[in-house]
Amino acid sequence: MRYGAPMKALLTSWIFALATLAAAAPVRNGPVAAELVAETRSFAPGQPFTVAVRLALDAPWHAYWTNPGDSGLAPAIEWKLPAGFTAGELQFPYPRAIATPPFMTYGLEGDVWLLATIAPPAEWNEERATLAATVDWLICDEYCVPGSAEVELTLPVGAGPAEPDPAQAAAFAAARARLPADPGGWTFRALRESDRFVLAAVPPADFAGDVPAAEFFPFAEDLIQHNAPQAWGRDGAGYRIELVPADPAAPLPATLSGVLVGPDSWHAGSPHRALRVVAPFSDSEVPPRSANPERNNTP
Amino acid sequence: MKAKILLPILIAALALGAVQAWAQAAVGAPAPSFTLTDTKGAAHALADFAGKPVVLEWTNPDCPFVKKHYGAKNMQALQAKYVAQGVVWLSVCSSASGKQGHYPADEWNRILAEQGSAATALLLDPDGQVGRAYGAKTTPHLFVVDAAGTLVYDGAIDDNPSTDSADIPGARAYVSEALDAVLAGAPVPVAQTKPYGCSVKY
Repeated sequence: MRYGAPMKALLTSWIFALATLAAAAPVRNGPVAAELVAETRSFAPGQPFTVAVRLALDAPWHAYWTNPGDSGLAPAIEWKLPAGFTAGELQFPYPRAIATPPFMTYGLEGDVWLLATIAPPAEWNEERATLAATVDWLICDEYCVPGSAEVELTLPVGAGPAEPDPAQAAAFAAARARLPADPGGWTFRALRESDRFVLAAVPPADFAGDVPAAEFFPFAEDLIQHNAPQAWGRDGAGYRIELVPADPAAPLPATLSGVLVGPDSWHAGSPHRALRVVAPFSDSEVPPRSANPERNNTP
Repeated sequence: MKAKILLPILIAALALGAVQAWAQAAVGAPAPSFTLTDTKGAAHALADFAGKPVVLEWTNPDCPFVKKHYGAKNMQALQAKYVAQGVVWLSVCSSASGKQGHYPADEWNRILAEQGSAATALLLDPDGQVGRAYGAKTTPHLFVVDAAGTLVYDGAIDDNPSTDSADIPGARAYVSEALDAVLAGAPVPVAQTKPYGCSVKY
């Protein structure tokens, strides 16, 4: 006990004041409320921390994933950070396929959290720092409306390591669960089978579940026909999903990359529904299914 | 007996319909033929313009991406520049009745005057047949047909898929490049790009 009671009370109110400083009000622009939310109540110089660009969309509007599909545009951010601060790329949650025949788009709905890592400089001599950004978005329903907001967030420098904000813990956990996860033992490879791309997905050896359905969302905008049905099914020890190339005559890319979204339970012990897929294309065609019944886990 | 003959015909017609329904157009192949009526009531067939390069510009005046290019007078400037060089510029609206961008002809004429459109004509395609034949996905989505009737460009107006008109000057203008090449008798440098904009309101 280094401080007496009056000093303690003063400190408490001071910390409380700093905590409220970290909160920033959402900026509403039409059907979107935008804000910058920090995962921590403070930051420590030289130690990266996470913030979210939160876009709360009124129903029935949707924004777009990094690959928007047949039309649309992903939200973009222009950071205005203090000298020495840097921001990482926005990390997007997995999208939802929105069919408006003959088109297919990949949208983000409801409470959208885009995460970014902020790296403060090792030397920071002020008591706080203000992170600001211009966020641009396109939202569509029957028609489309572009929008923009200026958002900002002020965080104090903590006495030690950055202190997590308990009020935001659940929201950040939920936002992280919607990011594509590392494959965690799943292996992927890509093949061209006549007029189809095939993504072969082999679960880890100890995987006991079943994956009755899954959807693939490619990172590249021009790789597959977004509106074509995707056929998912069992294949030997694993699964395969068939995709229709956008241009069957185009040269094969090096990889078939994107996110594979399955049911809640498929990634044992993990809340993630989306796995990050970077599958190299094999030169050879897929052998007939019956010819390779004992495929093991190595691609 | 009648049914026996009719059924294969029906199946063939359905199959043909399915093939024709979406994107017959392919870069390097003859552009799909069509006849559509413009906002002044005149019919235009693609074949009428044989010997001249033709631009097809899918449009919807209420789409923010279209407003980007009309608000900054970029689209009108392109229309005027290339029409002056002998290009036929056809704006096309495939918005279905009741959908965004669908207007009767007289309202369209008011919109075109207000925009200062310098297009040769605006063609009305409310049943979306021509839009589907070309695989028109967005507004704007542009196609360039050379004087021989071959589709030589299919895609975006430029390489900056934003709604901000401030982005126009710094963007790579694919349609200008394609038209300059066609007028010079040179190959189009980039013949296919992903169009950006609002979805066509079929």
